[in-house]
Amino acid sequence: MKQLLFAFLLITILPMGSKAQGLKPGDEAPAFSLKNVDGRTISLDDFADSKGVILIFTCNHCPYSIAYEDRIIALDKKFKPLGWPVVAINPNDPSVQPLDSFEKMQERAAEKGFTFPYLFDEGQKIFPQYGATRTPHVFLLQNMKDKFVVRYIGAIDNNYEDETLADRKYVEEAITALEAGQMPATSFTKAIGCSVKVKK
Amino acid sequence: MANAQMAHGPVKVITFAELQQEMNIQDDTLRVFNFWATWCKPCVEEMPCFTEAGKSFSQQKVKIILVSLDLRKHLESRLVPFIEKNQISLPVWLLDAPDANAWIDRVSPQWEGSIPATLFTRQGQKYFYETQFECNLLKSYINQYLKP
Repeated sequence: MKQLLFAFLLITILPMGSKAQGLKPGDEAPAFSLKNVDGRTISLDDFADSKGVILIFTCNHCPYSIAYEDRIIALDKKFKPLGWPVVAINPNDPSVQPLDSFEKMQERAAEKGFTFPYLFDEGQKIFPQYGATRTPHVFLLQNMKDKFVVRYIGAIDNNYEDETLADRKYVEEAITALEAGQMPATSFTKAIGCSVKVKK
Repeated sequence: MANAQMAHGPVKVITFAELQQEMNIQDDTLRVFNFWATWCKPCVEEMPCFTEAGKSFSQQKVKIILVSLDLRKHLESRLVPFIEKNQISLPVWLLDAPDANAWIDRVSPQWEGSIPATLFTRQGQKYFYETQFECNLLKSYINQYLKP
């Protein structure tokens, strides 16, 4: 009986544990068209003239996202002039995490002076296509003219706690490699983050 | 980083090497490592299940450790007050290892990096779940993994 119960529990728990198949480096980036904090709609196609896009799933409430906010602004300031702008997307359902509502996003963007679009994944249709599992979660996209291709997935650097102690700046290293016509030496990293908030 | 274990009230601050040492013990005690943080809502929701399991299995060879991934700078301001407010008696270790890419796979290659996540170890066997537990399920897993 116990065995049976265990088997039953195992079957019921499995769907919770299974993850949507995410993108891998080399995959084509799915298109999106989402509302920005300034009210405009921003699409991936709008960046047809850039070399690429630093796409970052992030949000207001998560302490790891907050710890990286200044570094995200710095990335945009450094790389937008070189043709690699930051685009941030909040993937969370505000009915689960009210601090991540569109209005709160507008407030946060104004407070911090975000220099990049901060988009709302309304209906949560985009994050599963990328396979974003946490915030912050970076997808570095290279513009191949007919499509955008994922070149790096993971963390911004290797120290969430203290930027000055980070001795691997994964996103910067990847862009530097791509600028030199090479593939990034590190194309995938893992990081602790806040899970994307969805209704149960 | 060569920081020795430091006691901060109820919390022990540890390096990944120290955590790994505990994960690699191969005796017949079932160790349950629950990775959580005060800011993680589902972690806080499932915490009573771990506290309850700690009581239910107190006479058996079960050791439950709450491994906090709170930021080191939030130790005094958030973690310690949380433990005191919720009267948590289970051991709480703050994992001070900000290069997560270096150790996530060493806890489990299955781990994507979100929390809550829980690792069970006993006699060299490892079982990993990146999910929020319900109390009955947690108990049934502990019972199952305690069997020789």
